[in-house]
Amino acid sequence: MTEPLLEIRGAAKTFHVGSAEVKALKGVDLSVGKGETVAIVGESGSGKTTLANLVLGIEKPSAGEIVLAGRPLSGRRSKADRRQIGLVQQNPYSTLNPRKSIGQAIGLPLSVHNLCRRSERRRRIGELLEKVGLHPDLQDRRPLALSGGQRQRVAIARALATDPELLVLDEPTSSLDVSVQAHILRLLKELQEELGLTYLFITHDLSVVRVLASRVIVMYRGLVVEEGAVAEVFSQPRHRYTQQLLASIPTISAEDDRLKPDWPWEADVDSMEIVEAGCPFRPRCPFALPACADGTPVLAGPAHHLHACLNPNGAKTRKSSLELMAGQ
Amino acid sequence: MQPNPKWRAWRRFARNRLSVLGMVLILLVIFSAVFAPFIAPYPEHAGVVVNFADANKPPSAQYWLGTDSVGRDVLSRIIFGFRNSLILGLAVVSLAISVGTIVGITAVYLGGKVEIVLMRITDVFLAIPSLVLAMAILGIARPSQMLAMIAMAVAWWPWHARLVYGIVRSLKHEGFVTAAEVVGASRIRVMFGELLPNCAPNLLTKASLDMGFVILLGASLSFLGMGAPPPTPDLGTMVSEGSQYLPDIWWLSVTAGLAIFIVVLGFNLVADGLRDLFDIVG
Repeated sequence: MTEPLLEIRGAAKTFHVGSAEVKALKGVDLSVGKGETVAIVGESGSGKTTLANLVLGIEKPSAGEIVLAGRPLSGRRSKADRRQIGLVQQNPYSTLNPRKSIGQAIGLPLSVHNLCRRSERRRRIGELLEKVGLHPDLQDRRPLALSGGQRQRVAIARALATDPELLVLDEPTSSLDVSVQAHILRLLKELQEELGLTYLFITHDLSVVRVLASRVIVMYRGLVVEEGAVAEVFSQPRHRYTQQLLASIPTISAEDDRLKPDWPWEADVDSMEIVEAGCPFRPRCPFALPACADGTPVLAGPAHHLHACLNPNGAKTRKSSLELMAGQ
Repeated sequence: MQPNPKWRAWRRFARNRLSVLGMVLILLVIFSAVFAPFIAPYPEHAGVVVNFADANKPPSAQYWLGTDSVGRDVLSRIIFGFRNSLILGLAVVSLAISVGTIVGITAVYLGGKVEIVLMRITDVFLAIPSLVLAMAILGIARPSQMLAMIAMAVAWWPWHARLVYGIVRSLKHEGFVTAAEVVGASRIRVMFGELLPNCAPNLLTKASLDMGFVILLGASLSFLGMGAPPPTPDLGTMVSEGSQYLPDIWWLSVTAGLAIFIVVLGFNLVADGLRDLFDIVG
């Protein structure tokens, strides 16, 4: 890994809903190298979106800090800090203001940061549109006239308008057709090579991770449970949750099915039980030990493939597969 | 060739024949209001003119809509009355929209205590009938056109605050708001640059509807003697004056009442057309 551009140290976030506390993030460490793509995967409620919001400065961390290019980002972001981070959101139908033209949408960051003279503006917006593979004349159109894929390209152009170093991609392809997904992913790859961009890629779609990311972080209930090179993690997932996630990808051939774990991974997938202490995955894990209720597991293992489990070898299984099935 | 979007919008508006009729009525009213001194047969009758020789004359070739109790031409006074009604409507509606919009957007965007306080104040105002509230305010000073306008705007802004509040609330979590915030756009910019344009179609429709209602409210206040003082030609005052002489001298109240009816109907029909045009539900 090259020198880190983004470092997240012990980031935690607790939301107060009425009198209840929701711990969305429980201390996450993460480092993203310059020019690297790190994917964060996990189901809804895993804290991946909260993590992205902390990086973007939409939320303030309850604890821990976000460091960009060696400088800690304070609670109130300066304009210079904001310039460094761009955002591409999930839903291209909501990310563009229906009453503003494409040119106005891309022009907003330019005018907020005073990036170019009024006379230069049209040309600059055209340039950005060309960069994402769109015709410069599209800037006079309203979003209504554009397809989902075109809108997402506009959103990418807008994110690039401030020449950021880091792009936060929040499920950028999730609401697009499969054929359009491939185009957007290729565009993102090309832009990364051309501009040396760093991507923090939030997704629940594992097939997309393989295409774009070099490293993957698996999150569960506000904790990182596994982390490593994409090829490593995908071929030899260590944590049961990662195994479950990968096994849940629908398969076509019987050959693929042989890669599925030999333990009853489908048993408790829907468990919504939230545990206060110990390993958060405990209620869903067939290998849980009494010790799992006491200590929170920490990431361990070789640098290129870490995972957090107190019973990594599956020894002394307390709940047998049969018991787990019967419990349903 | 691509059809011009403006032409297409007009066709959509014109699909409803009644809204075209409303538009024609309003354009006629606006035209006569603007050119009142040239159109009115006796422009000087808009002021203090006393001509007892011709008092209380029924409609005739000389005075198309008859004369009032001091001998002034009713048609001339109605034409100048249009002028006052439109000025009143425009002033009240624009004041109410400005205040209501600012309150509504601010409440949603700042949220928290600001939202609660602003919207509860709005609710309190909404709980009092507009006419009663306006009368209460007018009760504190000598009636004048200016005071009537302010009183009505005070009674009217909460409706706009509610409207804008509802729209903006539904848009607050849209992606384009987040996108603007992440890039570092100021609060003012997000509120008025991003959110306000999305309220425009609804506001325009409501403004048209309100013009009718406000003019009616103004006429009611004048009828009750709380509007512009005489000799200002005011449609509501004319209905009120004429009502003393009903039914023998009918032309005063009836023609002024019809004039109010035409203006209010026109604005309501146009509002209907705008609602279809912008696809606004409800």
